[in-house]
Amino acid sequence: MAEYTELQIDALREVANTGSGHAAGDLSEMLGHSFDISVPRAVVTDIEAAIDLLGGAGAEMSAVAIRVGGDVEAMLTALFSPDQAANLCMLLGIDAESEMGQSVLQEVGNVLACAYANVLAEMSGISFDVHPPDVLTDMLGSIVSSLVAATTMDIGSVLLIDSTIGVNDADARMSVLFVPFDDGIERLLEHLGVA
Amino acid sequence: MTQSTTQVRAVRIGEVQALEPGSVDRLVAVGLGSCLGVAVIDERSGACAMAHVFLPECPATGPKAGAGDGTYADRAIPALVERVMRAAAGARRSKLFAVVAGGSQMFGARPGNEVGTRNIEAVHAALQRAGIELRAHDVGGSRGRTMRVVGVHVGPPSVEVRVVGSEARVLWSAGANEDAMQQLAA
Repeated sequence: MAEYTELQIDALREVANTGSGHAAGDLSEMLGHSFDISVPRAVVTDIEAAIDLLGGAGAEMSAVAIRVGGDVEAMLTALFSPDQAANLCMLLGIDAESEMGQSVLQEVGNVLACAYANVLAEMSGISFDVHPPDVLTDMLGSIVSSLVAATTMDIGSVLLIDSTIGVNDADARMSVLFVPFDDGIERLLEHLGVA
Repeated sequence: MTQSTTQVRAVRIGEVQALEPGSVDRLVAVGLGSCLGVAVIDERSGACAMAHVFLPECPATGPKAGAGDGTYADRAIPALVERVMRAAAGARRSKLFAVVAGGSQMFGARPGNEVGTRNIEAVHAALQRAGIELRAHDVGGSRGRTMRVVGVHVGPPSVEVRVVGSEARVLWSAGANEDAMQQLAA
């Protein structure tokens, strides 16, 4: 993966900002709670530093991973700690361990992916497919390294766009990673007018 | 016997680390998903080297060509052999063997998600090329793993694997091997 200019990083951050903004709006409507989003950080770093930044290789996390496809391919992954997943489900009056809890997390992931797909479509004029999500609970290192190996096939410089969505209070936050596939990022930058 | 303290040393993605004979250190690769932990052990001296392999093959040219020794399976195996041979003066290539864990498919079977399987194949091929026997492995599936090489004062280290939410289990150890042999003989 090549180096990115500050302008390009800003443009990618804007995708995440708009995407998570739409997602927060959609989640508010769907679940009837107020959501807020953080200013996303877009980081180009090596993979170990990226994993450390997100909480360390051994941290247990639930992930909802979705592939967004079209002219630009990306993996969109929502990460919750077990506590955050439980809190999110509790706010919604659902037991996280139940089948309903898992399906709510899956639905939250779906809403995120669709919001990002819509934003990408608006910005580029291309329509995107949203694939069904994989929901898994595992070590953060396993999740992120596999994600990066599958998308960018690179170890030297990893592009992670991370934004946080909060529900009512800080205890139910989730981290949203947007990782474009290596061969799609140039096209994405082109569509954003900063190639 | 000299008093020695145990150090836990993380083997991070793309790294290779060695265990001297008699060292009671632990080498740990945390969060192996599609990555593979590969340990090459000299049975006689107990010397060991471990890599945290990220991808199957090193590109021939370009900016990625110079990445760390352990990053690519095809480069990691020769690097491991070299490190073990360097760690123990009396090590013999013919007495080296390998223990491998990882290579799962975290995100389901879809195109682009088969890195884990390709990593397993590439490690197998590289071990074969180097003439190293694969003694034990725990690979594939959909769960992440942590692999731990536990050094002992005398003899080869043991190798443990753990997945989230379960106890660690011994993947290979000299003792367990003898037990198995005795069971076979009985």
